[in-house]
Amino acid sequence: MENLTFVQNVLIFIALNAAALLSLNIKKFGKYISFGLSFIAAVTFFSMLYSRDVFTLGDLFTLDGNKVFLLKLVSLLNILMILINGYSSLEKVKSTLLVSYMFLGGVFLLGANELITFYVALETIALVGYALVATSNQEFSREAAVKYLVQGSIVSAIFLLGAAFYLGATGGLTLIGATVVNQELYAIAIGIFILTACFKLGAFPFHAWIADVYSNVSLGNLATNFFISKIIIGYKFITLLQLLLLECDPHFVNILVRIVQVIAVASAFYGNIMAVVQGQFKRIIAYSSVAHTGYMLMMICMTPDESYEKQLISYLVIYSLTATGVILILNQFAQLNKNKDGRDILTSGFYRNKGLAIMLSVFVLSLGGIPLTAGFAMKYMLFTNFFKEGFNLETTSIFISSVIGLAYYIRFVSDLFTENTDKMKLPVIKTRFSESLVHVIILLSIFTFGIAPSLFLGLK
Amino acid sequence: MDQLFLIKFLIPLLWAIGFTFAPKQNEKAIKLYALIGAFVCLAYSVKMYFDLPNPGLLTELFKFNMPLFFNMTYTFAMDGLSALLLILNSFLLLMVVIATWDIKTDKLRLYYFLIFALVWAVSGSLLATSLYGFYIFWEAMLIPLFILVGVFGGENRRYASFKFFMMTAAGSILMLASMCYMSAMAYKLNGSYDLTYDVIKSLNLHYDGFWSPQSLIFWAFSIAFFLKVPVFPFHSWLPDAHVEAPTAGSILLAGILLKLGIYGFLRFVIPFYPQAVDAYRDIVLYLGAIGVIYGALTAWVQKDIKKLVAFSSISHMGYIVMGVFSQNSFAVKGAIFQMVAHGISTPGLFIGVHYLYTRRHTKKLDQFGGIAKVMPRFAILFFLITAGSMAVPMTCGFVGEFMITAGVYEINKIVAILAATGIILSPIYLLKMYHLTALGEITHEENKSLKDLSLLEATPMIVLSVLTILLGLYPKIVTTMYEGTINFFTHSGL
Amino acid sequence: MYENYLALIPFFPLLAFLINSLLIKNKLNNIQAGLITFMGLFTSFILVILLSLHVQEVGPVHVKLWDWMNYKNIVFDIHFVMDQLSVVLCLMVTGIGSAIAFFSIGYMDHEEKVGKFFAFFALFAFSMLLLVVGENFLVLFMGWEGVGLSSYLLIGFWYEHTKNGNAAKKAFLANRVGDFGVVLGMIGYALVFNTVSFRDLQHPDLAIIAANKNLLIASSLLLVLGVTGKSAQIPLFIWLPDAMMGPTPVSALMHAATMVTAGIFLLCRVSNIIIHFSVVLDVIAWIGALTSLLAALIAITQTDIKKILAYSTVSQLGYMVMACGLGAFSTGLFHVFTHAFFKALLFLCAASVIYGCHHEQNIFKMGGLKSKMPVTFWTFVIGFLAIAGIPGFSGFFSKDEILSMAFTNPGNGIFLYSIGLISALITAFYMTRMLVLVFIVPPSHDVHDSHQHHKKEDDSHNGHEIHESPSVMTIPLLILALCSAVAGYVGMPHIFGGHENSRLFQTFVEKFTAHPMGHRELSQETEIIMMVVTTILILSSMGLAYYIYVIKDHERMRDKIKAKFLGIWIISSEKFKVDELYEIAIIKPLYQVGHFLVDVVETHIVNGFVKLITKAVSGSGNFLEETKPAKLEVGILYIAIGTALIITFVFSAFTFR
Repeated sequence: MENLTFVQNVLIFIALNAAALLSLNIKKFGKYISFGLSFIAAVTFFSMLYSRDVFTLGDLFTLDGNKVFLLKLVSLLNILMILINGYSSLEKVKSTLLVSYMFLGGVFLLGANELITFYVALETIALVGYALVATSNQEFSREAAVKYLVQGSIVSAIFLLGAAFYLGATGGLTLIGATVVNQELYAIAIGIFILTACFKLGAFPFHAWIADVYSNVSLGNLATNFFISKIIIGYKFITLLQLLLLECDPHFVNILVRIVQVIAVASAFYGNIMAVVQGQFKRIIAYSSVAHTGYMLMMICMTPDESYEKQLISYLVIYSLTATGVILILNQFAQLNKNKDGRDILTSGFYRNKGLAIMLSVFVLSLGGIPLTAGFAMKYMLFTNFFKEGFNLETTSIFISSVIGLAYYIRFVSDLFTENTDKMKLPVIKTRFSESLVHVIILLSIFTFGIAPSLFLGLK
Repeated sequence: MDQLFLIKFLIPLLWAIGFTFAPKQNEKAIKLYALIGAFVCLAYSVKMYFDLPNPGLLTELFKFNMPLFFNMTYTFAMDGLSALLLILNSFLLLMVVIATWDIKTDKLRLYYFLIFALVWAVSGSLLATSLYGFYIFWEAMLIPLFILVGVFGGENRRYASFKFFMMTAAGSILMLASMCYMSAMAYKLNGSYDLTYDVIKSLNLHYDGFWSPQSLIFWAFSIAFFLKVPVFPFHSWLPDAHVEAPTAGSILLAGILLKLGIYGFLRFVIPFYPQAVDAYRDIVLYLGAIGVIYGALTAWVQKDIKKLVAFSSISHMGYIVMGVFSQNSFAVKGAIFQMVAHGISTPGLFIGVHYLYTRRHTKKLDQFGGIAKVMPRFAILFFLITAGSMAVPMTCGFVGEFMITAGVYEINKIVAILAATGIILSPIYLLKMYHLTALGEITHEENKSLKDLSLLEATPMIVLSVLTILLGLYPKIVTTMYEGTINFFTHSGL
Repeated sequence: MYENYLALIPFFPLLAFLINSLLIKNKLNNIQAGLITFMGLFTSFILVILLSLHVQEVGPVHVKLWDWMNYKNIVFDIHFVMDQLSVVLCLMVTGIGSAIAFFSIGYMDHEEKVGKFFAFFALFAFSMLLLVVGENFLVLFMGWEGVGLSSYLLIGFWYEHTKNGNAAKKAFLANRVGDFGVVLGMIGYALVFNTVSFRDLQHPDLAIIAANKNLLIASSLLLVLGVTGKSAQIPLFIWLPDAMMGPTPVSALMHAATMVTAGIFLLCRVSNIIIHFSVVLDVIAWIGALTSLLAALIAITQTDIKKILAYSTVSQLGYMVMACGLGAFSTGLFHVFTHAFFKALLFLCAASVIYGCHHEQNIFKMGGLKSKMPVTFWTFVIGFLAIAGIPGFSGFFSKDEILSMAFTNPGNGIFLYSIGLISALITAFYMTRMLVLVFIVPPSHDVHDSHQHHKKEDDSHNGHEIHESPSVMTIPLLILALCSAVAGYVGMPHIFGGHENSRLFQTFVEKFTAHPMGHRELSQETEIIMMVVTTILILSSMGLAYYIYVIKDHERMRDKIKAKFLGIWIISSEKFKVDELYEIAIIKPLYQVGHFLVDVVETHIVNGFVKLITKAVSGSGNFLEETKPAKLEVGILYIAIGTALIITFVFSAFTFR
């Protein structure tokens, strides 16, 4: 594999997936073959990543240190998700294929050095996202898909406008080493890039699509959506904006930083408050992701250095992992109650399946930031750095909003432990081996990260 | 450095985990296992005290470095004060196990697991001297009690457990915010996120006016601990938590968990923010005094006996906060003594209420009356414990309150006089409780046939009454333990 | 050797208490329980006698048992002392105590759970001794509240009837209000003089007193509040009449002889300090005088035999407090000494009368007991003569000395003298009224049918005939009668006993307490004239009472008197509405405040604040829920507004450049 250039590997990946797609319509073994092919594609790509430590494609695309590290992590998790989706239903295999294309888009987005590849990759992820929403056979999934599509296209139009301003400001489209000629245009361009970041990640003013999409995507897709789009887009946008802000005129910088902080605090409060009143799980997870995006966006205002990127990666990965864990377990509970999504499916969960209940409580407490879990380490790490940067007021207000967050996380635990009178009737939940394997993996990673975060961060 | 420390420290947790393997049906074995565990915990906490070379100073017990967690060092140390509270902690565990011996529930293993986990978390926060160690155990304490109240509590236990968790957790989030700020400062100062004792001291945040870092951090910590103690305006969770909590929860909550708020003040606030403590001393003193009177008057009006005892502990804790914040060495010594005294008399009251509840399944005061005729042994023991709570001189209640009133008298006369009204108010509601339950005619038919306490039931109350009298007459047993540490907690050296 | 005698004095009653309380269950019969308590008290009595001889020659004896607490250089320790002051009180407590214990063996024999009674009796004796021998404020206060607690237990002995329980609670709470004053006063003294031990407070250095005058005055007044609480003076005397609910020997012991004198004892203990503050002395004097007058006025119209004696105790206590207020602490203590004997005697006579008349306490229902209960009658007469102040008997000497002290006191002494004289006359009046109605006047008709009524009730009592109490009760009566007759001679004024053996008691006590200051000298003649005048006045008021109640038919007389000054009669018989006043003025409003705190502050402000937050969060959540961009165009509108805001924000930066 080593001697193959990066392009050849990508071509192999695409070929395998295309074959998997074609094999779908084979009558008898279609599902198994396509599952096998997509699995092989993902594994080969993962092993390719180890061949070299830098991948370049002319000056359009470079993958170096942290990016490769992130990509390894994401492709590993991608393999994991393929396993979870399994080969049982046709619809699940289809979504695995869609996700692998999204993964490819993510790879290119990660390495993009100039706006064109950036835009193209962004659009591929978005398109696959719309498809994922449309194909999951929920009640309003088609309607949610259309809404997501329209909003997404408007924002990409605005992004192109931003790219035009960027061209005007720096005379070129390359994102790295561009000399800024006209500061005003440059500031507007960054403003628009912040805007798109907020939309893509689902920050407060632009969160409209999150609730619909998350509540109308099947739980399996929701997990996959979490992985690819959230992690890569989040990482790429935040590091890009950090770099762009370096060249910007300090007068504009504190205006832009002010904007980001306002958005961050607003979405932290908005997400937490909305999540408290939600009845359905998917909506609770949607709004909690809005809140966590709020915490994440603050990273933009920090001066970029080696350890921050590592911390950002670990924050993204761990958050997605925990959220996926929660989603998977809720999926288990939901299956028992005919896929209902209300909160009552959780009552006396502890007495029906001790393992699942304990794991769900740990995941939820990690999201809430209770010590000894990864969530606490993340929250502590992030907020100490914000304090280091001197954003005292914003960080304290985010802390306060995280108190509200604690409310609905702990409500999960109290639902689990309350015993409704007729608990005898609710059957004990059986879990398939693969699912419990994944749960255990996530549980272990949460505790290891909780106790020893420097493993990931390589802090001295 | 005590190598065996880790094993001794982890005993309650290992014992708790042991419960998960205990045979489900054999209740006798589980209860016996719990009893032995309680004795072992008590023995090791007493032994740890005697191992202390000098109870006056913080002797380093264990220090382990977590290079992977931002290169954080967790230090565990112990001095007279933490040893005293540790012994009280495991003593109350023993009382709980004996008092609730007759508990009838099919989730017995979960019940004992939660109690032992709670006791372990409390011992952890008592021993941790790095702020993060303290915070981690402080949070860890909330979850077992939350589940204990949520699963084994009364009717609307979910509301009570939820309210309890949210209010204390909100306080601790505030604490986390100020800890992050301080570790950011520490990182700038010496490159490591650590917040051990000497690092915090070296931070010496400057103080000028309310918005300066020292006072903001002081208020963040204080509000977190006020919510836990609870001090007057922040106490709305206590009555609900006590009414709904099972007896074990109430005993441990009133006996030791409230004291951790005070312990937090003594250990992490008073030594580090002297100017802020001096600036806001009067506010807290008045809050304490109001707490004393407010707790007493509201207790007097209560119809539910457990709520009455809950409000009485607000009144007692008001005394303790005043003692601690007056920064007078006599008052601080009295406050720490009052913590122990309150940790003896209030659990005694709760055990008494538990026995009444198991017999009549009601907590309403007007359902009882004339029980002394039918249950003489209970009446006598309940009277001794009420006398202790009423601060009658020859009992332990008087020692602490007298020293606090005397110490505060030197600092602020008005507050001392307000606090002294507690002497008048506390017998009003306590005697009302005693008269409505034990004395007077037997008005209700069921009361005629109540069974008196069996020997097993009576033992915890006998032990507590003997302690009440013993500590009242000879308080030196307890004061010698923490006498040396007082000058750490009164920086103004009054 | 004397030290461990001293240590053992409180120990014996404690031992009796432990034996009685721990052995209640295995049926210690009544006599044995009584004997244990009696033996406990009697052995202490003997020890006290031995020690008093030693103290007379050598001086105070000290023993320190163990260290309790210390603060800077103030040492709180469990420390006993037997000095002149405590010798007197110990003699009274153990002497009269053992007599009453012996008496109550007979009185309480047909009650059940008597073991508990004698246990509390011993506990009371222990705490009273603790109070008396305490060398510092701490031990005194332990005894002070211990006494309050044991009086609560004894008053509420028959707790089955809620009114007994409430009376006990009322007594305990009134004492606790007093204790509030004592604690603060104690702390004030401790912080000013840097000591709590009475040995140092006996010789305070004047510089300190001058330096912090106001603090000391305030602390002394707080101590006076404690005194009024314990010795039932004006503001806090309401509990003593209700304390009569308890068994009569208890009233005899505690609410006549020993416990109520604790207040005066405390004043004597701190006499060397308060002597320097005339303000405090005046307050004490006036409280004492007014209390004695008020109580005497109430006692006239009472019908219950024990209530009359209770109010007479309050009025006599008023005398003692007035004496202390005049600076004559030793005189006050002398009156305490004599009063203890004759008041205990009167109460025990009342007890034996009640015992004889099957628990009938209304004096109008008794009558003509002279023939039926001769011993009780004659001992009662001795007590009556003593309390009325007839020369030769103990009451005369002590009361007369107080009046002369008042007379010679500069400033408002003359008013105090007149009040004291009036209340002495009223005392003579109501005591004769009681003597006459109970013993001399033949029983009015309704007494007979009350007997039939009683007969049906408790046939166990041997025969319905009223007869003399058994000898176990009459012997203590005789002893006490002897003492109350003789006790006066210990402190005779100069006129009778010549110079060397006069005022022996006072000079002995004044070794500890402060000497009265600034009293005018009184020539012998005026003193004799005063004595003669007071005796004549007393005899005339006794004659008046005799005239009204014996010769005239007292029902018609009573209606006539009632008609004439109806208002005063009702007020007096209704105890001046003091209890209702307290109920309305203090207890009701406090309860309302309690309700207010719970209903308003707790629910609306404290919980309200928490509910406010939860409502704010969920309210804003629900509001946002409604306005969330469900429809597509609203979503797009959000995006448009968002972009517009960001761009204008950035534009705003341009203009500032």
